[in-house]
Amino acid sequence: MRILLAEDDDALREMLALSLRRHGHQVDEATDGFAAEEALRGNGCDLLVLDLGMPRLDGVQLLRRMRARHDPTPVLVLTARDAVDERVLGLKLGADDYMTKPFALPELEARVEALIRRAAGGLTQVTLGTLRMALSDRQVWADGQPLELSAREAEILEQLMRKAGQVVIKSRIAQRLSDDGNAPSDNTIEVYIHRLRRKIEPAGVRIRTIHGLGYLLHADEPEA
Amino acid sequence: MPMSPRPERHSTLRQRLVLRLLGPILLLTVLWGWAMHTIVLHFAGQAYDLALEDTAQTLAAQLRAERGVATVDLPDAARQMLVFDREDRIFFAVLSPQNEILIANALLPAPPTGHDASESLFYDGTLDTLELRLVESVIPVGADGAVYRVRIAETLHKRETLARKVLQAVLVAQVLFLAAAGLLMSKGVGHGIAPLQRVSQAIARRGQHDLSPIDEQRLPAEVFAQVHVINDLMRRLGEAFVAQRRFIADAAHQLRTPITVLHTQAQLALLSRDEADLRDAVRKIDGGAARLARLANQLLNLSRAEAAQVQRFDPVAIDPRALIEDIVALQVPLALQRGIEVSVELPPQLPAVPGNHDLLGEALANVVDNAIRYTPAGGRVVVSAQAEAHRLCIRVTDSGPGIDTGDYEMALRPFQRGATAPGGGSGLGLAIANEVVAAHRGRLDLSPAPGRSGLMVTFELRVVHED
Repeated sequence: MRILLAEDDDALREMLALSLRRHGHQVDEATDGFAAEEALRGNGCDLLVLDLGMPRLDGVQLLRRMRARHDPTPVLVLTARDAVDERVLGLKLGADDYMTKPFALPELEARVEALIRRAAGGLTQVTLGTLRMALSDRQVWADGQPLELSAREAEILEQLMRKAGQVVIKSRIAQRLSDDGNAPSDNTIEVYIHRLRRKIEPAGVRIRTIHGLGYLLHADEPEA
Repeated sequence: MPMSPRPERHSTLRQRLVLRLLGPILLLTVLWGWAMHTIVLHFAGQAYDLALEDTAQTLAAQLRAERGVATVDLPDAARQMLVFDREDRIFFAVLSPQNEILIANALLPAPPTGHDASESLFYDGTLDTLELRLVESVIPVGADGAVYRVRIAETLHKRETLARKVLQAVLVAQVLFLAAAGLLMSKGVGHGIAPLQRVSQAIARRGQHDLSPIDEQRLPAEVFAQVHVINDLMRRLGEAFVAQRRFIADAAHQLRTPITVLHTQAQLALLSRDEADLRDAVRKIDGGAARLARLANQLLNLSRAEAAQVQRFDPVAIDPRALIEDIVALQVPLALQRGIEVSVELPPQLPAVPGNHDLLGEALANVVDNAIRYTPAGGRVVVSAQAEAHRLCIRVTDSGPGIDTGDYEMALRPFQRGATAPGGGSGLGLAIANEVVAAHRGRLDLSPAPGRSGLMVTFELRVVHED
């Protein structure tokens, strides 16, 4: 993927470029807004990683001009400013995602991947451990063997797999399952989870119960 | 001379006071002049009336009774003396009991009412077009007591002249009085409000950093109260400035330590010869940078929470369930990583809370984060909520070492880390939560976790009134 990195701080830009290249992306660098704009008009890119505070033409102006000429390139905004007000501004101007400095590199990688994927038309499957789910029909394989899941079980598993490592809140699982406005009860959800556990845990994943809150799916790694 | 801005549309205090006082005084003066005028005319009239009565008595003395028939002997000289007056014309008439005229120089009108012999009756009347003041005396004559009447009348010229002169004198006196009163009032009011001007000049002369109190000596009670309030504000502003400076100094100090650590670690990394040592050092640098990042974020959060107390935000109704679930869910991975069990206990119904979503979320996240960091592996963190009489209480209970009850107050202040604090905390979490809750006009309460070691942090928040 071709990524344009517009950042005026040399140390940060070089580091980010190094990291992105290491993940197999082709990276063009720009040190100010005008250079970035030139690169956009020239070669173009699949994703623009844009620092808001740049000299000459700053990120906010660049973004505004891009969107004014209907440039659809996805934009990931970086800023050192306070998140709350600028997030609103950035998203209003048409940024697709937003990160506040300082941030961790893995986080940046994840966001970049997500944006590129979204631009390419989204995910086709999700995997965790040896578990794999095709999103088109929610068919699940464990270690290459198809798993028999009910429609509801598969729906819940998709939610858990999409947010693997994070808590999926129980009441929201129920809300998403309600087809006619009647959300299934907590007990019903518990029954589904119970069945899911029996079916998927042999594949090396765990559903943890967070009492009063929800569930968290993670790979069954040797844990500390 | 210091500039005193005084836009046109503001009437001065002096103008307002003088105008307020002058109106009633003008009214009183007019009433007082009218009363003076009336009183003077009354007594002067009485004096003229007495003179008129004297004339009547003189004429009455000329009545002679002979065998029951009275006659008036009025020689020419006497008659001339009788009607002589420097300004007015005098008329007289003497009437028999049968109302026959014994002697007269005019047909004088009868009094409007009857009266007995003991006293004279004064009345007003007209003769042709002349306005007259009259007196009638009743004179019993002879043994059978036949009653004769003597009437004397005079025109009103000297009375009117007197009235005019009295009026003029009173008016002149009043104008002088009003002028003097106005002048004195203006001066007096000016003197009275001079302390106000002194105070405003004293404030105008100040530099922006001079927050010392204004001199409260020799001020009248009303101004003293105002100045006292201003001084109180100055004192609090001064304290806020000091706190701000201390905060910046503390913040710089807090940043300095992890930066020094980073620096040292980087230098160690440069010295390390083997790959494993290098990786270890770099991992430590990464951890130090993460702590530094967290600290910077916390500082921003704290300043935002403090600003929220000064600049009020527009509160929206917040669903506490969604807020708690979202915030705790984000913290669970950290808890699991540290081997801590997190659970949430919420009743089915919770009242909405008016507030700012980001600030409250930040506050709760900080307290939960603290609880997780301070609790040793294998411990528990419980987040619960309960509606209690116009309040919503959100409680975060941990099974960590807790805080000594004597240190609670200190724990809510920025940069104060308890004796039990592990490394890595910024010492700002509780301070941020405290500021946020204060900005929501609620209370943050610390107490020992019930039934075990550990800390319980209670957010007491006002609820949205249902009406």
